Formats: sequence, structure tokens, C-alpha cells
Amino acid sequence: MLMEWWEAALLMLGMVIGLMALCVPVAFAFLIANLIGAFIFMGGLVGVEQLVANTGEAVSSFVLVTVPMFVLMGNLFFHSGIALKIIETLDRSMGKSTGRLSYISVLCGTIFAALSGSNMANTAMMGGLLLPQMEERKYQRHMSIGPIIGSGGLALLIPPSTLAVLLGSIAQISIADLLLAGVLPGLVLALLYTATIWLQLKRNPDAAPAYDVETAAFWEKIRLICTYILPMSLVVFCVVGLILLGITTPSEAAAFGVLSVLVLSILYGRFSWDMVAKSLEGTLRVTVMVFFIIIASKTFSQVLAFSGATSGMIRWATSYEFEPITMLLIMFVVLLILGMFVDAISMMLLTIPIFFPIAQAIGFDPIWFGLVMLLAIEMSGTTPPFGLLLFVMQGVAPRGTTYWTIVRAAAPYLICDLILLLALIAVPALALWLPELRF
Amino acid sequence: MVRFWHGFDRLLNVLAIAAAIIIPFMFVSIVYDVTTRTLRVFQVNWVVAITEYALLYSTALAAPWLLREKGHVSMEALRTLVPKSVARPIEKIVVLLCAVACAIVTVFAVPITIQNIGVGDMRANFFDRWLLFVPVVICFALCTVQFVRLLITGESLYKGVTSDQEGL
Repeated sequence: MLMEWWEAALLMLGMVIGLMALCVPVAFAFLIANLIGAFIFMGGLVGVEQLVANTGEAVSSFVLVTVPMFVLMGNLFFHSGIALKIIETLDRSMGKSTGRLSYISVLCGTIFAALSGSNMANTAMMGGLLLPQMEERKYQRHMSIGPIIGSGGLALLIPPSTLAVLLGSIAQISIADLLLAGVLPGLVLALLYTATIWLQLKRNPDAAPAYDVETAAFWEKIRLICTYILPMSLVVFCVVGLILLGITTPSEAAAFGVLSVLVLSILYGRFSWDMVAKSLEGTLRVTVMVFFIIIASKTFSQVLAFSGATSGMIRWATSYEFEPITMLLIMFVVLLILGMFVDAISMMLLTIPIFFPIAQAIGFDPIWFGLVMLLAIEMSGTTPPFGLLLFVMQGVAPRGTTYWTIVRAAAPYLICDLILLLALIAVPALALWLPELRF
Repeated sequence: MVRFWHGFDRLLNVLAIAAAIIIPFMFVSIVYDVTTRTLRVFQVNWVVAITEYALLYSTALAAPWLLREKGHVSMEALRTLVPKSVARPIEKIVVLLCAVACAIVTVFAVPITIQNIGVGDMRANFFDRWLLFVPVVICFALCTVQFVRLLITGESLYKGVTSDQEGL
């Protein structure tokens, strides 16, 4: 053995994290570390040759077509202006109440999560549209920023979730099951967010004062909801329903999701080639960024396995005879700490080759564990110092909003995430019930 | 040299447009495949294989363009923690490291491509395996040139902001 397993693990993980800390783009950080790792652990130049041979096959996998399709779906949804119409409809349908716009944020976040797979796009969209209104209505920052940043993250759990597809693909577990597993926990989380707003308002009703609002008449509300909210169920049916009924695979369902958004944009008279071009450009940017990281990191798990780091870590983790719950919490904390510094995809690529074998050795259900990982990733988006959603929010927040104001506003929603984690541990069926219904 | 970079930019743009066109092509093929399979008419058996290749081609063709557009994600926020006088030399080293890594992949990918001429792909026997490596050669060669360009012109690798709203 060239090195002890822990030395090899430290070298590989240290190289990737060190290079990222030097601001090497994530994809190239993995590539450089893999080239060095393949040379050391996989037989010199033969290892490098193997690494290069792997790159051609890294993304040529049919399941990954789900990623560009989900991203395109979200882009069409935002660029067509349908998202805007949903916000307007909810705004006109909801009566005068304290915290009105905070509740609307959670509702919008939940609907957007079912129509787009990007938490960052959702947060940016809601922040850009709702925050100025909340400022005008004298909402305190924790009542305006908090619900938006919290519900923006719902996109990771509620399908179509692009990160769920990537996680399923990297961990080689059923993507369909993982997508379905996120539905109920996502809805529970939305309810917890609503309860948080209610509690915050109970303590201080002036934090989000009621204001006079011209809401639509009853029949007008019904018309608006039938026109702009109910048709969205077509998209949900295409993505979740077709998978649940066993008619399509997740990849195929994603293409039908795109079709449904296109049909809706035509029916609403919002289809234009300019909108399609903008959506395609947005999709290309995200897809290439993600897939290039996968291409560059393809050999990472292989190098870890060759060096003995993976098996060594599993031996080490299981030798302590920790209770499974303790092991889960250790992995969860590692994910949270890692997530403070690196982005979601890097986090998955770094940890999945190590955590999934350990989780399987302990006896965790891989779908359930995948969902717990997604929850940790969602939380890491709002944990300082480098939670990406915090920066997205800072980009759209009113002038003078400090970084720490955003962090404080997001804190109660992080607690909701922790409550969901406990619920998932206590009642695994929360995640596993829906996948079991699949035909 | 200006004319060379102008031509290079046009090449990257053309490749990116080709990559963007591949996305709706995949969408149409899948919808066509599922529909004809369900209706049991005009069925085809090439959609999965074509889509798998299309994913690789769209990524590899657009990656050098995305590099020029500063779209590859990095932990840019960390740059704000160090003084500019330190950040700039580090950036040069980073660009150099990336250029060398891309050049190594290109150099190794060329013989692999040649070795796979006439070798069928087991997943789709109507394709030769060299088709999997051509985009790898093009992608990493163009990325190498783009990194060298950054070294020569002194242009920054980074966007200069702490976050990008396009993402997952």
C-alpha cells in the first residue's frame, strides 16, 4: 500500500478543497486533483489514461437528460412571465391580514418549487418581486427576507429537483423514487414555514402590518385561480404523475414537463422565440456548468477506491459501533460544515462516494438517506459564511440590508429544516411512502 | 493576434449555438419516442443512444464558451478575503494550473480517439467509440487556448461578483 487510507483520503479531499480555496473553478479543481490522484494511485500514466478515457462516458448517460430538461422547464416558466402571473393571482386572491406577503412568499415558493428545479432562480425571482412590496408595507426584514429565503430552498425537495437528479445519478439510486420521496417532506416543510410566520406574528404583529388591499371579488378570485393556478397541475402531473403511473421514466417525464410549460405559455399568449432563445441560453449555462463538473470529477470516486480510502473509511466508521443515528448526525454535521464553504454539487461529489457506502453498511434506506442529504444541502444554502442563497438574497435585497440581517432572518427557517430532519428520522415513511406507491 | 482572438471568439460562439440547438433536439426526440411508443406507431430505437451522445456533445462544445463567459462556478467569495496584491498572483497560478491540466487531458485524449476508430460502442452499436472522444479533444484543447489567452492578455478568470443567480 502506497499510503495509509487516511493519508490518501486527506490528500484527495485536501487537494480538492485546497484548490477550491485558491478559487480554482470547481470543475478544474476536481480535474487537477484527479490527474494527480490517478497518477499516484492508479499506476502512473496508465491511471491518467484511464481518467481521460472516463471523461468521454461521464455525462453520456440517459438519466442525466433530466437535468437540462428540468432547467429548461424552469427557465421557460420564468421567461414566459407565468411565474409573475402566479404571484399576481395569489396577491389578488388573498384577503387583508397581518403577514399577508410573508404567507404569499411561502405559497409562491411551494408552487414555484413544483414548476422549477432551481432554488437560486426561485429565491431571486421572489426576492426581486416581493421584497420591494414588503419594504413599502413596512415589513421588518425577518418577515420579508426569511420566508423568501426559506421557501426558495423548497425547490431542492419538491420535484422537479435538479439536485435530486444529480444526487440520484452520482449515488446510483432510483431517481424516480428520490424525486417522489421529496414531495411529502417538501409540503411538510412549507407547512412548518407557515407555522413559523404565524408564531412570529403572534409575538409581534407589527413586524408585518396589515394594509388595505384591493382584492378581487369572489368570482373574480375563482376565475383567476382557475386560469393561473389550477392549470399548473398539468406541469405537476407531467413530472410527478407520469412517473407515479409508470408511464415514463424521470428523464422522459422531464421532457413532458417542458412540453407542458410550452403548451401553457402558448395558451396564455406568452410564447415567443425570444423567450425560447433566452431560456435556451440560461439552460445551456447551467447544464454545461454542472455537466463539466461531472466530467472533470468522474474519476474521483474511482481514485478514492483505488487508494483504499473508501474501504478504509467504511471500516473505520463501522468499527466504532456507533448507533446508526449518531453516525447519521455525524454525516449531517459534516455536510453542513462542508456546505458552508463549497457549493452543492462539489459537496455531493466529495461526500457521496464515502457516505453512501457507509450508509448502506449501517443499513439506511438509500432513498431516505438521499433525501436527508438533500435536506442538508438545502440547509447549507442558507448557512454562513458562503451559503449561496444568502448571496442571492443580498443581490436582490434593498440597499442597506447587511449580510448578517439576512443570516438572522433565515435562522428560524433553518430550525424548521432541523424539525423536518427529526420527523424524517422518527417517521421514515414520510419520505418512503410515495415511492412505494409507484407502479 | 487581435484577428486570431476574434476568429477564436467566433468559433466558440458557433460551437455554443450548436450546443444550444442540441437541447431542443433532445426534447423533441424524447417526446416523439414516448408518444410513438405509447401509440405503437412509427417507433424508433435510436433516441436513448442519440440523447446520450447529445448530452456529451452539448456540454463539450459549450464548455470553452462558458469559460470565456466566466460561467464556471468557483468559490469567488474567498477572493474578497485577501488583498488584491495577493489575489492577482494567485489567479495567475490558478490559470496556469488549469491550462496545464487541460493540455494534459488533450494530449492523452488524442491517441485514445485514434485507438477507438473502428471500435463499436457496446451501448449503441451504430456508433463508433471514437465519437465519444472527439468532443473531449475539442473541448479541452479550446479550454487550454482560452486559459493561455487569459495568461497572455491578463484578463480575469472571474466575474468579479460573489454570486451568480444562474444555478441550481
